Amino acid sequence: MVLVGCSSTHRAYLETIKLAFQTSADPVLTLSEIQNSAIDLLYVSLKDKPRAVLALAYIENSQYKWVSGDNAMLVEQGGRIVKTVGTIDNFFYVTNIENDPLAIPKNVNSTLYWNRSVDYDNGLSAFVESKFEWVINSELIIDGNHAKANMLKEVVTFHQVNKQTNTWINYFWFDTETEQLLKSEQQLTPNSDRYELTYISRIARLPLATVLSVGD
Amino acid sequence: MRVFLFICVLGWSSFSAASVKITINDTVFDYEGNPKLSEVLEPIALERSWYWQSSALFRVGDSTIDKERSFIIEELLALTSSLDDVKVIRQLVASLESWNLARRLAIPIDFDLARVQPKFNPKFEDGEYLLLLKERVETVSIIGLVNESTVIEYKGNVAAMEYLSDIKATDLSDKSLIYIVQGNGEVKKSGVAYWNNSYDHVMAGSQIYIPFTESQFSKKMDILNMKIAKLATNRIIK
Repeated sequence: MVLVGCSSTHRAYLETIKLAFQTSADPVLTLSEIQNSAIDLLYVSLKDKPRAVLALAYIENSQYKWVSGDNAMLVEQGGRIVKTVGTIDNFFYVTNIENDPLAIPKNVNSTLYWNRSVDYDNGLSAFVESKFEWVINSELIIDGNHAKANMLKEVVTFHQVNKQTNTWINYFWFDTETEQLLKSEQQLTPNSDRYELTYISRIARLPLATVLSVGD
Repeated sequence: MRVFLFICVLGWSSFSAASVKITINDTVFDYEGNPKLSEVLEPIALERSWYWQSSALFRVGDSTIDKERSFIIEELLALTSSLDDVKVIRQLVASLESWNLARRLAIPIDFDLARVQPKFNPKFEDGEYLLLLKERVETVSIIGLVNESTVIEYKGNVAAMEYLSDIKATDLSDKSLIYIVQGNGEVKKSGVAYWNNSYDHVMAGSQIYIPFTESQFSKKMDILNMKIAKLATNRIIK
């Protein structure tokens, strides 16, 4: 058998999944369960809360709609959370989403800016600006396991109603070879907890040959 | 509570000879059975990027909403004997008479929500409905004690008081309060003076009602203001 690839990255992804399933408070699935699942699965973590496993229920108009066991929904487009249903800080509309640089990550560079309004259930509509920066061969850490990935840093500036601004950084990690989004950390409002999304089904589907090549 | 009330209105029909007629924007749909909300939304939910918060379901043929309007107009006309500016009150009456009204049902209209949470996916009871699906608009409607009802540009993430500079309120109006009639049907009384500013937000496509001056010693005008603001939630604005 000829095994190609140089990637300790992919092995680390898989190890990550295996180890992640052994944590006590979070849901535990086996790698084979993920690989055999007819539906794509996503880990979603929020600060101080058990990790949730969401299933991909719909792909509609370029949006991926993930549903949890307790009937919450997370809608993402190009990896960005654009709507939440049944969560604490629901927001429901993002303007100018058609120009989100995340739609074509390879075209993103540090000169790009993206502006949008984000509308929340409580009536708040925030003006939000983003600029971007790539970090190539960055370290991706999932449950303490390290791997290499290309990381897109998004510096987000959130304009408050009282004219003050808040700034934070979102992170998006892409596989160095397939360019698939593997994980992200996103914050929706200045005071909300950060969402950590781990695309476990994508990780489990990474080329087996490459995975097995590790250490050869 | 809103959901419970809606289910009471829509009910759970077990009749086989059901008849449900729903006008979705300008297209009429007839159903032989009693469809669920998600089934009604399915053919058109993905056609556009709908702004679900401002989308609304109305019950057609519910005459109680017209009675409510009539009672409010009677109260307004009764004020002409005690308030100075009769012209303003008559303008407000004319404005209310021009409103196209139907009873708005207190249920969020959201295709995703209806599909994942059964309590937001009730069945339609027999009858006729109007379902207005809207896109996000960059406007806010100003109604109430203003020289003229008008539509102004939506200002995004600003406090409600920031709209006052664009509004020509009349002398009868309360300068420290507005009522925000959000696109989702919620009504909020909001302080807009420097000493009571509540920094409330206004959703895109909402209405701002400029109210009568309220008093600490009588709730009469508070109650009337709230009636008018709530009536405005039943406006059919396409």
